[in-house]
Amino acid sequence: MNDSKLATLCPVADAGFRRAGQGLSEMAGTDIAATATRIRRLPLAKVPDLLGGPGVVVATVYLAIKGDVEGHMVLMMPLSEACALADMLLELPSGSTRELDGLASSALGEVGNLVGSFFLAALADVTSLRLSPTPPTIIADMSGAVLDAVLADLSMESDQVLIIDTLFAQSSRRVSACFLVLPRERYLELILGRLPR
Amino acid sequence: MASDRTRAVGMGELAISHSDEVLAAYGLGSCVGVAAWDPVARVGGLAHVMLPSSAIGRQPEAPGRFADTAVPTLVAALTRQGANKGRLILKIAGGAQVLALGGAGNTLAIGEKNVAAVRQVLRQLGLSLAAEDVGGNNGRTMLLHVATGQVTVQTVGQAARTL
Repeated sequence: MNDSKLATLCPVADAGFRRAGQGLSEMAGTDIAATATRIRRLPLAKVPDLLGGPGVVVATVYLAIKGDVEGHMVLMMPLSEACALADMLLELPSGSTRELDGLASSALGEVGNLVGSFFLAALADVTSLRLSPTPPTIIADMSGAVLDAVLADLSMESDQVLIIDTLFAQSSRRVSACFLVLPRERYLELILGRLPR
Repeated sequence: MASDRTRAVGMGELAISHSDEVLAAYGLGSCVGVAAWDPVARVGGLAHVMLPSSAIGRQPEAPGRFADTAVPTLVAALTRQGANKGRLILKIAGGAQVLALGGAGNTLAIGEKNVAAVRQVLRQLGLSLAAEDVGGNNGRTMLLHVATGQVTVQTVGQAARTL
């Protein structure tokens, strides 16, 4: 994937994230914006380094991509950011959520669900592909341990991951996360071939 | 615990050490860490195995990636550094299923396959395991203290334990 192809994905990500933000706002009853601040490519094995290293515990929402394309989507962030995101969604004062308990965990799952679903919907709009996510799985564990099975699953094909740096904002609060999109390589070509030039 | 003498062994890599280093495989999920240590030669090695078989991969230049190439490479490298194959103490950790890939009902248990492949290769080499901590649903960090041969495993929310 070259830079111009990455550039064509920017409006797709923007549209998907804007709608995800609207969904989050409805859910939380307060204005929350989701923004794709940057799109880049990296070898998947380098992703844990973005989050402190493979042994550092992170919060993860995983969804598989089904339909005309097979692959994986992962929303990943430091535990502290996940707690801040839960506070934002549950309209709690900053610092209230200290661990990913049932409520915080399901709020986080809904964020992953909305971001993944609306990103796929935006991608489906421009590619005319049938794309849908599985229900979200929420995990708090070492980032290397979460991603190594994904990497093993993809390593016969490609180990490149599309990373969308993500910012959630509500009033003066900000939460940063990484949204990873990993279609199987043969499907990546299919997607890129259908993107508008 | 980790010290500044700690050397990270990344996914698909393997490392050998003679010194008082600690070799570390951080964040093992479905991957399997294979530690081997010779108490006489005081040389040790750690492999961070990702996949069961090199037959399904396309990067034969990375022997540390596959169980069937990583384990023989590890043993050969230790032997070259003065280890005796018969004295090697072998311990493994990892092979968990942290993430059910593909959603419910479509789980690819790569971790189990990795553990089975490592065991099979060890059998073929005539080697047996001294200890293991495998399977389950949690990530692990595995440390080999080369000076002493001690292997410790850390899991989220639990105290580190010695294998």
